[in-house]
Amino acid sequence: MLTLLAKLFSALNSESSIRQIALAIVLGFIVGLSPLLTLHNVIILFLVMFIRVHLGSFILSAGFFSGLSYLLSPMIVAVGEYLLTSDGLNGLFTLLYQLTLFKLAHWHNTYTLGAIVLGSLLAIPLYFLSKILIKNYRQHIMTFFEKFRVVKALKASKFYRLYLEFSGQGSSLGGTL
Amino acid sequence: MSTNNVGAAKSMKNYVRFSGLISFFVVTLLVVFLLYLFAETLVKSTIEQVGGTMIGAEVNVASVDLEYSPLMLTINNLEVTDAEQPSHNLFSVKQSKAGIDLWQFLLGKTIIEQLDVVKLELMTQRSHVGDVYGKKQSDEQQPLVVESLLPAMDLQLPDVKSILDDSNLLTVKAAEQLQTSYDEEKLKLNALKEKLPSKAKLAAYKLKIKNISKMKVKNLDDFNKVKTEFDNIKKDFNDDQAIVKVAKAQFLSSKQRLVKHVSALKNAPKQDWQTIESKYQLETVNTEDFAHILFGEQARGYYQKAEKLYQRIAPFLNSDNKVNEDTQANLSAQGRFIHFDENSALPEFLVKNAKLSMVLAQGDFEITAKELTHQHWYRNNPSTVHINSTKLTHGGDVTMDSQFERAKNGDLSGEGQWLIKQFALQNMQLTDVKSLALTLIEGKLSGSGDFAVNQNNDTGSTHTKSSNIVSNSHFVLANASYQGEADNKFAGILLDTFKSLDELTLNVNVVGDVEQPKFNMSSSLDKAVKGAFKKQIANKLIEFKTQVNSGLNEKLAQSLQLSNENDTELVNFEALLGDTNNALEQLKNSDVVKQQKKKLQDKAKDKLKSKLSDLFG
Repeated sequence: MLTLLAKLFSALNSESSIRQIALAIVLGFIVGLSPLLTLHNVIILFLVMFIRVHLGSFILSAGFFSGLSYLLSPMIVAVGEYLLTSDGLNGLFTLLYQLTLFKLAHWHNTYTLGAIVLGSLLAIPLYFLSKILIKNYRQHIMTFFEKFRVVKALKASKFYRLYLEFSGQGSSLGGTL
Repeated sequence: MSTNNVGAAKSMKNYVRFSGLISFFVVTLLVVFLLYLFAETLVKSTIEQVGGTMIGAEVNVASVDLEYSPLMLTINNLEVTDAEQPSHNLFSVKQSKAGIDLWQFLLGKTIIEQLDVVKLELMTQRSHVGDVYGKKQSDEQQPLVVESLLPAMDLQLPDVKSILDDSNLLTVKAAEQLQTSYDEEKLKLNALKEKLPSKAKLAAYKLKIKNISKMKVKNLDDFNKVKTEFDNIKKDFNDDQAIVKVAKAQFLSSKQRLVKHVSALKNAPKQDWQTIESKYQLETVNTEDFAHILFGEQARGYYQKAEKLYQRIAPFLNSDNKVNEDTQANLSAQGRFIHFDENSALPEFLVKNAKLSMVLAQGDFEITAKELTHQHWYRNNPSTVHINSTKLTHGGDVTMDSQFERAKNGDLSGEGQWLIKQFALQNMQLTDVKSLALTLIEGKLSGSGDFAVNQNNDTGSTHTKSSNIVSNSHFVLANASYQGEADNKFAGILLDTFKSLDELTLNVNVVGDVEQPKFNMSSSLDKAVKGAFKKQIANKLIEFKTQVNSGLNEKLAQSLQLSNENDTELVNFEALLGDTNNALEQLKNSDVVKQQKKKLQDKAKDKLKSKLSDLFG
């Protein structure tokens, strides 16, 4: 866990692309909301591996939003229930239901559909929000926090050593501490 | 490689990592491997958790075995806690094996080709008390109250004297009423009697008439004087006759009133006896349904169990696209599959063939079932269940065939027939109340019956549900021996009757709403107990009846004696009225005027004759 956190902070502080980190958070968010073993999660996992997104951020994001999904599950199910039982959408879903892929993806399950719809809808604002936050973090918060004694104390910890190792600054900065 | 190609490749590398593909496959294989490794544990945990949520109590599975080609799930030692009695299992299964259609399972449907359940047992003792989740079942079985239904009456009959002293007896009231009426009428008649012409007055009238008849009539003036005199007396006669007429009318009215009260008095003892019979339940033995008293609560108890089972199954049968509140509330966080119309669709859940072996205290049973689902319209086949005994502990044979079907609109219909042959019953407590503890030591039960259940869902605006059951059962208990204790004579008779019965028949009919059915029972016991009861109490009851009735009749006779005395007075009064009226009528019709007229005429004739003889010599 410490390693993952270190990776995240390393990514936040490094020159990694803000877009890569934000995309990883968003994909982790979608995976986190959905039941683990679903077809779309396999596809997302493929994308995460194939496209250059920050893996550590993805894993942390998926883990964090998985936990959050327990709290959100009634809302997720309600969204799925509303969509799948809506008279207006009955024709569309009946059409999609004829596709084996639709059923294999379990999009006729209230939780799965609710998660994918809610995740996809919130993914866009979350992507931009993540970008803003990472950018602001790099510009203001990182320098602001470095002034605190507690941060200085943290720099002397094992966590910070790990962080340095992953950021590749271990040898140069290690000597200064 | 040109410079452009190298640039494009570099640019591509900025966005994709080909090494990630290997990572993806590695991760995927790892996940599959982990799933394979922990699948059985996961399935076991899922069965325990989901089962626990659905049942509302702890579910335990010893182990789960999975075979993948074809997919075969084996559950070993499944134990489901009874939420109402956590020290026992609702049911337990030694092993159940299900062949599952994997492809359909991946598509969200559970299609089981063959289900084999070995050693299904009910209400077995648990090794530890199971946890109960959520609210306690509110539909706890009410304790069976048989005591209140057993007749409280013993052979202690009420005291005759206290009954006869009761001022509320109709005989007493009717006698009092008759006396009051007589007194009132007597007053009225006496008042009129005073007004009637007395004997002296009538004698005076006669004297007057006599005097008129003696008056000398010499001429027409004398005759007119006689006539005037008679007319004057006749007026008095008319006045007196009017009084007699009024008295007669009053007499008739009084007579009618008194006759009515006498009639009521004569009927009163009979009515009093009926009231006494009813008040002291002397007629209970003629109307009581003993089969209902003894077997009614037991039948209701068995029905309650069956109905509770039905209520537990019903939510799963109703879990189509409409959310079932209780079950779905528990499972809401997990979501559910919603299926749409498709060609050659299958139900969400289907067991094509099932075979269960069940072990009960009475012996071993085998259940075979086909097409077990809650969505019969997909395959247009009803679910069929056949139960038969394979090895009963004390011999006999039990079979049952049933089928049920649920329509797309939610209507549910089911029917079945059952047959029991020489099923051995042992140490079965029939009743255990203060007045009677009765146990069937042994007996051979045979019987047959049928049932039909219908549940209609009104899909209109009201969304009302109506359910209906019709069940007819006939039981014959032969070679039975009973043991029991009775603490009063009535219960003693009941006990003796049971012991003397060669064969006990019982018919149970259940009709009406599934949740509130009406029970109708009849038994050979009814007739036997009535006969025995009547025989036992006949003498005592006859003596009691004689005493009460003679007491009542005595009261009646006393009242009627008074009435007879009063009647004599009335008869005398009636005679007086008749005599007076006759006397007045005679006086009124007196021919005294005619006589005087004739006398005058005779005189005139004589005078004329004398003159004519003088003239003609």
